[in-house]
Amino acid sequence: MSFTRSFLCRSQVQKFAKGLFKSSVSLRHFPLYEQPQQTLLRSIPYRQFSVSLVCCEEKIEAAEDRDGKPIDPAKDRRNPHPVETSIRYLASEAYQKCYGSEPVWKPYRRNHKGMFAPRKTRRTCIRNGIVTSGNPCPICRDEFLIVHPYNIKLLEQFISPYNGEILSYEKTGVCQKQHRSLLVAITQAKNKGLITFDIPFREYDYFKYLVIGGGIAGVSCVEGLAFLHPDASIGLITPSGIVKAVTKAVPVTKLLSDITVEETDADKLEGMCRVIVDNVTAIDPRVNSVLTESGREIKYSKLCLCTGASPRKIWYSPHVITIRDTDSVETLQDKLKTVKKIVVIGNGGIATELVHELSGVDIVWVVKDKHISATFLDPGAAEFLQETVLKKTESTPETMFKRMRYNTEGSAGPSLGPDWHSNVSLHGVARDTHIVIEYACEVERIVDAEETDTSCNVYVKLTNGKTLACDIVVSAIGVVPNSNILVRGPPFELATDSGISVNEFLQTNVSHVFAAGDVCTPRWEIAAHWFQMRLWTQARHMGSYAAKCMVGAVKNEPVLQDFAFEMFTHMTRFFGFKVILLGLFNAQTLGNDYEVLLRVTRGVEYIKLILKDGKMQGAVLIGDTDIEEMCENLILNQLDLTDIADDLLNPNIDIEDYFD
Amino acid sequence: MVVRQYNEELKYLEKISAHCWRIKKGFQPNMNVEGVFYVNDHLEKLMLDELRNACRPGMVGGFLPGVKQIANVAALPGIVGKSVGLPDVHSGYGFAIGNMAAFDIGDPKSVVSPGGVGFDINCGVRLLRTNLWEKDVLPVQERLAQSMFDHIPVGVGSKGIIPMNARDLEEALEMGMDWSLREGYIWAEDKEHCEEYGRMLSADPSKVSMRAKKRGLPQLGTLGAGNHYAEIQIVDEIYDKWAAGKMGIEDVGQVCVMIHSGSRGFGHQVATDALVQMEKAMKRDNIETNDRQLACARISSQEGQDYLKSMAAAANFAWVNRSSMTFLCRQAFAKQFNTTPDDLDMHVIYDVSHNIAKTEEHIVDGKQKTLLVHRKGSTRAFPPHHPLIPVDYQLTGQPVLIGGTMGTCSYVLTGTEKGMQETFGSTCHGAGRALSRAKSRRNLDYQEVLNKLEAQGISIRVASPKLVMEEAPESYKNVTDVVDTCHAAGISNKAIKLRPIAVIKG
Repeated sequence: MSFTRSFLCRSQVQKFAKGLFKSSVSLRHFPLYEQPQQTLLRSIPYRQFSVSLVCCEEKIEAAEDRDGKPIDPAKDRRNPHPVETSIRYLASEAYQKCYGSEPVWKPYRRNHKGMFAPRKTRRTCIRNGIVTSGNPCPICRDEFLIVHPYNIKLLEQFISPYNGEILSYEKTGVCQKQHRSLLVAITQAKNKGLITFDIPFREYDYFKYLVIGGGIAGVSCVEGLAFLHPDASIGLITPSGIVKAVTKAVPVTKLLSDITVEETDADKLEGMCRVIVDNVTAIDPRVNSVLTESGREIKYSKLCLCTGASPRKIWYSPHVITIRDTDSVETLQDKLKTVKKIVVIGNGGIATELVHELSGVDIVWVVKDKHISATFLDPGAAEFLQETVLKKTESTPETMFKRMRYNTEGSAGPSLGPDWHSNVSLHGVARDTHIVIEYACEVERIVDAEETDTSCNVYVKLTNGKTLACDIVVSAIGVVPNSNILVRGPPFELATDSGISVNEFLQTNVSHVFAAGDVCTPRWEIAAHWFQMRLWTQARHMGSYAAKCMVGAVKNEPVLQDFAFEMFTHMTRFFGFKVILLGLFNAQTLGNDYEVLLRVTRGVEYIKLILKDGKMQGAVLIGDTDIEEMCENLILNQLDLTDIADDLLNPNIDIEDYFD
Repeated sequence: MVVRQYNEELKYLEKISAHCWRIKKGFQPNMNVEGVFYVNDHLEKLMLDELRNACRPGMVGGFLPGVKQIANVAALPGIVGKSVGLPDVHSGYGFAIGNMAAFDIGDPKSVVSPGGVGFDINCGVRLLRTNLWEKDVLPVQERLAQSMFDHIPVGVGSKGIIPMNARDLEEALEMGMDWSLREGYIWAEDKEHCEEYGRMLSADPSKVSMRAKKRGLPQLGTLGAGNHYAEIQIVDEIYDKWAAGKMGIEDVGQVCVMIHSGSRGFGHQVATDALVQMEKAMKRDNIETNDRQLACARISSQEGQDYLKSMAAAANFAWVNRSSMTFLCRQAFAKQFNTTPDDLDMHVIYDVSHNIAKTEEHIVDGKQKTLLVHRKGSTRAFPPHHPLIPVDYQLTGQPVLIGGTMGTCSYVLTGTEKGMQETFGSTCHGAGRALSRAKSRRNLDYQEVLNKLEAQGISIRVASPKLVMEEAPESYKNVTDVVDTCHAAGISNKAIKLRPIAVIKG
């Protein structure tokens, strides 16, 4: 009733209270004679105690007290009911109607002067068998509630579910006498074995290291933590039961490895860390805790955010598919069963591989640059590879390595990686594959076709004026970091690309919180031959480096920045060729002040070295060239190659061990 | 470089014995001593072809032929004896790979050159024996190779299998294999069968740059890529049964494990740092060399001493690296055969380094001198009774391990007295390449590619096969040729031939 009181003015409250006292327990006798209050009270959800309902049915003997005044039968407790009645009562419908499922003390309110109730409740409500109080305690007011060791249903209501102890009278409001009898009855019931109590297992949601995100960075981070600090508690929060783990890293050079990525059940990480399948709703750095969707509050000592990035979505249409995770590939696979014509937008790795892999459909590939795969390749390399693309109808032999296995049906899985298509059959219905590449244009808009239009599903309008009709559009146009994490307190400092900015130890501006992988953007002074690209290789480096930094921070050890950030390295496969990118492979940041050394053997290898002032800055190596380690060392060493630059790529010379 | 006709050049070369040529003074300017190189008929043809190609008109810059590089080294200040080219000599940065040169420490003008050590400092070979026979291994060959793959860490990222932090690295750099022993990765006997007992005492980690340490830290205990490998080998032929017996090789068919690796990025960084310092020192001390790549500094100078100390640290790094891999190989074998490495008798036969500079005592012109011996692509081969070789090999001479390139044969040689006198106790290190026809049949074709690239307006140099080797069937220096030459020249003796059955490569 308390909540309604706040709506009443003071005088009303006083009147209301007066009426309540008069009515005693039996609220049915509530004063109806005061007309103005009646309407008011009807709006108040008061409880009707069934006591009186039951009472009325019995024959009430007229009784008198010592002074000869007639005793209100509702207040008469001289002949207490037997406990059996009480037990039956607690199971009865009348009880249900009166109290519902709540404990009997829940609707009770003590009356008191001032703002605070006196600490102790009254000594007793019943003197000489008569209820003397106007507001008797929850047990005394209902004559059918008998405190007895067998009356377990009643006793249980006074036991705290947290520790098995009796609830304080301050909370329940029972009078001291009843409280004492409750204490006795509960003890007796426990002794008789009628009440048992198991202290609930309290899960202490605390981890020394907590990692959010089961992508490549998150898993690398967990692996690193388990390796560097084996005794510490490590937690991994992932939205799905699938995590992505690097199962095998074959080194190509010192910094560069050909990584095999496998999606596995999160259980496989057990032993290394505790996996929590949940979504994070907020982070509270003030108390070092993470709040999850299921209501858990998980404490941490060091937190690492590896939430990754999501594909950029610009067009929303049922016929536009954004490729990034396992889920969307399945959608694509599903749709490919019926399509004949497909438009691929994007010029990155995924678009390139997709075009290579699609067969049996007509493809229009829309790229915004003057050549394909501009994210990774220069025009020359693109030209080298393009021959393979356009010759597709002659069915080029498939040399793709299978490096990824899907062994679970994933929902909102982590991002795709190299060779994501190896286990996914991407075949449409049409027989021949016909590829058209639209260079240097972008998509202006996408319009869904009319229902009646059976020739196609969707129209794509390009900036070069062309309009393409097709069945589906696949968009693979880059990613946006998942950095919109709710933070209680000062938010994360974001970089211009909306990644969380991190310092050279991958720390965010929020203390004890680190970030790694696609979600972060470095704000340290980056090395001359390194730059960020949201790729798997970098996610892996960052993940394991974050582990090192976190352990370093906990153990108070100095951390050397990982050497992986000295030089950009990436290895992938395009069109069945091994592609290795080292350093400033596209002469990033060099302007036009550089020199290119080139060696091409059609269909076999494409080697491009970037030199500035006689020193190697970057390299693109396509095919099996075997010089990746040499290039890596030359870029890191910054050796002056002026004299021998001409011979570096001389086809008669095996340069591999010249710099040994 | 002096440009002369090929015939003119030949006047400076003289065949002094069936397997040895002399390079006379004047072949290159300022030669302080003569050069010498060891070849057999086949290798001789390759050497001279190489020289002839370099002499053709219009050949400027580019790679110097090995002979020229040997002669350029002979022009360095303080060199004593002669500049020696071993049969597998081929062009390298500064010094040719397969070149050794000794400098007199007593001479204040003597120099130390990082080019004479190489970038992959203390790159070397280690051979483990087992008591298994071919028939034991063949059935499980695939599984054993896979198990070794799984055990030997893959050189990337920060996941070396040996838990390492910055402090451990400092200690490892200082202590070399003593660190591995302290941490329990190797057996005490292993140290006994290593050059320098697996530790260069002159190492000073404080002279090593931070960048080098950062580069080395994640790579400890990793194999590396390029020409480094671990191989399971079978004894194929025994030439010297007695010497083989001393090494614990009983008969043909015995299984061995060979590990070929070095200091990896750490060594590269140490060498690069030193080159930068030495270029300054050369200007200051007015040291002139024939080749820019031969950057050097006086041994007594600050730069020279710093380099020697950091080089020693890099050498220790390489030993720890090989020791870690030894440990992992033993684990892999023990697991596969369900026994202990002890029971498999997996002892280190020997560990040689073929990219290093060491202080040694030698007799020069009848006088004992303390020399700084640079060996690049060349292995130390001390004769019997030399005080620096382990007790077990006092009578046989030091074992010399010659790793072939992957897939070809490997050899174990022993040092000889003749080698001690002629080549300062040095011999070859393996096969040689650089100028190779084996892989050179590249069909160059780039017009369309160039068209696409031209739009960028960048200067593009396209590789062209201007250096055509006429009639040279294969310029690759076969390890068997190389070893036979060493044997015939008497600078070392063949003892064992091994053939690989499984290769583990980074």
